[in-house]
Amino acid sequence: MHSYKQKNMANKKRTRLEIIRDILEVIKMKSGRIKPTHILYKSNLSHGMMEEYLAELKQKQFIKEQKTPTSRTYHITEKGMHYLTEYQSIAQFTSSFGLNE
Amino acid sequence: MNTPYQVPAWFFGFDIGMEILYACIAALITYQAYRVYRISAEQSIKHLAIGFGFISVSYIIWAGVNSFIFATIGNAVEGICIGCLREVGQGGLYLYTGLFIAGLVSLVYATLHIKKPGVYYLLLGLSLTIITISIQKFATSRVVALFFLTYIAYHYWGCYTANKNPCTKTLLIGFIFLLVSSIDFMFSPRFYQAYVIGHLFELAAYGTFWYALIQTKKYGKQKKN
Repeated sequence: MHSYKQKNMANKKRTRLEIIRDILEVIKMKSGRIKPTHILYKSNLSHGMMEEYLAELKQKQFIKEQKTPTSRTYHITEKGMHYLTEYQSIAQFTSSFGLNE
Repeated sequence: MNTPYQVPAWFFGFDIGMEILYACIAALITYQAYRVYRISAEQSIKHLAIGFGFISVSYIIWAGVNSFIFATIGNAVEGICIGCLREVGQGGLYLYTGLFIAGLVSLVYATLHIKKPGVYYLLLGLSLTIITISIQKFATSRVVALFFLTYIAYHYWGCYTANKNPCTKTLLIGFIFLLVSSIDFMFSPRFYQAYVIGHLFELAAYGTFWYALIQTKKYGKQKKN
């Protein structure tokens, strides 16, 4: 049995902004701290694509990486939270101005 | 720059007011795009903001050049040929043309979704070179603008057919108006009517952009709630 979200995601190719939102929401749901394997599982991306997005999100300061000798975790920053709050305005603006990828 | 365009004396003042209005609308879009860029850090939105920013400044300069002409020769002559103001208006018109084309190049670059500044350099460099070596620089700049605007309108058409977003349709209509104004301005060195009609099409274009901006903000707020 697939959830509505999964069905919806299967029918329509996600835009870049939607993928970023999904990753940030996954991190937020896990109390702001998550391992990359969980992000990979929840965000429905290939490993390579996930690493690209994580690098971009780090560069944009939406997430922060914490490395230990055995693992690495990610947590969402205030900037990332602000992105989630304003997501609908951003999505509407980029869609209207033909900037969706 | 050979006679860049002809202006009927009765239209002096109206054109300046319109150009300032276009600058304000372009500045509003720049502000909104910059605000969204600050939150999203998306490069394409930054290029859109830069594009409309250039366009806004270009209209301010054009209004400045026309104000200077208005202050110098005012309404003393019917159907003034601006070619006689070569020394004074030339620099300003070069700047206006360059900034307007840079604005369009930035808008095109924003839609390409590539991170290759070399492409931007080539597009802008080639466009400005063509205009610089041309005799009728103003008309040539409009031909170059026509190419960019055709691409932008085609891009928006593609986006609208894909997303059916009413704001995209409004922007598409706006860019078509701007495209028609560019075609019309090509005839402005010979016919002063073309200058007036071109301004009216631009008015329609920027009015449409303004409406699209309001629509975008409204839908964004509705979805948020």
